[in-house]
Amino acid sequence: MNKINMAIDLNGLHLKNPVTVASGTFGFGEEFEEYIDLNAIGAISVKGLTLKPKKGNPPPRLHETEMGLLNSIGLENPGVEVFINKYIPYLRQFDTKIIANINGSNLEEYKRMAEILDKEDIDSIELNISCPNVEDGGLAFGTNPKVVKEIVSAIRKSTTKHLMVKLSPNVTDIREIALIVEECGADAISLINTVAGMAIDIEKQQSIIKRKVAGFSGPAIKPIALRKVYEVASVVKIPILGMGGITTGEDAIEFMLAGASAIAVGTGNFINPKTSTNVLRSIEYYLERKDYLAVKDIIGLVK
Amino acid sequence: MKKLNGNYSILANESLTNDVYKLVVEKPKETKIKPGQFFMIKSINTYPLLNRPISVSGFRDDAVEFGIKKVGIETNHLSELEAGEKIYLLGPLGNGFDIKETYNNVLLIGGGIGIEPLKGALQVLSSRKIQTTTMLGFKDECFDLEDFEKYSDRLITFSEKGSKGEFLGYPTDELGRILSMEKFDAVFTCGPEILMSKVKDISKVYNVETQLLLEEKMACGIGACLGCTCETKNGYKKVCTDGPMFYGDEVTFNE
Repeated sequence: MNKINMAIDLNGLHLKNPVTVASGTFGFGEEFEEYIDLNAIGAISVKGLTLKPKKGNPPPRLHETEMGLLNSIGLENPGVEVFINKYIPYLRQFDTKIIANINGSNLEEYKRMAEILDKEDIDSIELNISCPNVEDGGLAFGTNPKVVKEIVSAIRKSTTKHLMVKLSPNVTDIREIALIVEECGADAISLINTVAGMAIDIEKQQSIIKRKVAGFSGPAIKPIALRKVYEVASVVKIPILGMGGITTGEDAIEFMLAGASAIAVGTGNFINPKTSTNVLRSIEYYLERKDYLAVKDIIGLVK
Repeated sequence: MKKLNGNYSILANESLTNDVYKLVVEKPKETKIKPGQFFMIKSINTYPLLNRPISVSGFRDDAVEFGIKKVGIETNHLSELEAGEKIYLLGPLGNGFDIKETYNNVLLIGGGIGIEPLKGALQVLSSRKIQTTTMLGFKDECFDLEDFEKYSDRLITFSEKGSKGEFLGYPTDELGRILSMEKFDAVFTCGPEILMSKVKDISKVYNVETQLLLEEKMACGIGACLGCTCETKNGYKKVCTDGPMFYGDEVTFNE
């Protein structure tokens, strides 16, 4: 088993294996410590951070649909300062990479976040321009090519850290956005964020989610995510961190075959806190069964 | 204390009414559970996706009991399982009731399926020789009274029909009178929001501490998804890890 090389290089972000966990589904890691060995996963993308602590959206924030989950958390988080003082030291106890997912309601906030984190002990900045659950910034930025260009260029100038940009699936042509991100100097691309969705209570005749609209995740969106990864992989040279509905090793392998260099487990972490390590084991089993010596050899085999 | 995260065998699954059943699941002896804690549980099907947060309603050394009401696909699935089949368990989770050393006399008030976690609390209260009065409210038919009779020093039942010797009405109808006659150290409550809200308000008048067991939809149950938020006087709290037990003076029930 150990003879298989599981290491992945996301263009400067060196992962011991391709299994990571998606922002917003893994807290700051500590929630999972008693269930899994945090040293076992390639990287942890922490809960989406903002400059100041953020309260998040009023409840109800969740609704389950057929094999999917609608959420409207609204980036509730303790702010970048608490992350730096409390969670970076906590996460550094483990042999896993730290990805700081950053959010802003305007360009200045994004820049400030990047400048602050540039001096901190993290391994990558994941620029989130695709959160569907906030009024300002988020999705509104990530779907506008001009704004994407402006933000990514500015952040690239603000930090020398590994920079990954998280894309929304809620666009007409994701390849256009991905190419801009690459041109502006991002080191990698992560996709997809949640799909814009909603659900209605027909008795009360109102939206189930308090903020009315939500982001949709889970196995139901896997085919959408897989296609987006495939499309982006066909046009960019920088590596892709693929995610969207991955709950099994087989799902993860599909993403890698479609062109992702690494994957993230998201909603799957809620179904069982051990999902990420189960996915990893199952990828290793597949590679062994297929006689691969390195996991990187399966990236993008499906053209 | 190591938490359970895996598949465990059902020891018994017994129907209590048309839509309420008692599921008894094996657990290792060393797993200690506090009353008011819950587990994320699910039948081993792919569908639906998420586990369901279910409060513990009773414990033995080698098993945990859940009193469950059929309210949707998963609670229906679980009701159909038989002894010997396995279900997924993650837990015990949450803080649970705080049974303080200073307590001598506790009042418990439950409504509907919300009576179930109180049964677990009673089990512990009675083992610690704390005096208890239990008031239970039902829509129609009473259920699961055997254990309540066994563990409560005094049991009073209410129903909206008032058909079989229960009082007609709700436990909160008599709460003020009981609190004015007798000194209680705390009131534990679980049930519909309207019931808990009244319990909190009436108890406050008599200066008695209340412990409320809240319920919310959850995705993870372990504090990661931030989906089960509830509004409190101290801002948003997570029902799963900050609760599900909250003190009455912290909870705000209005929209």
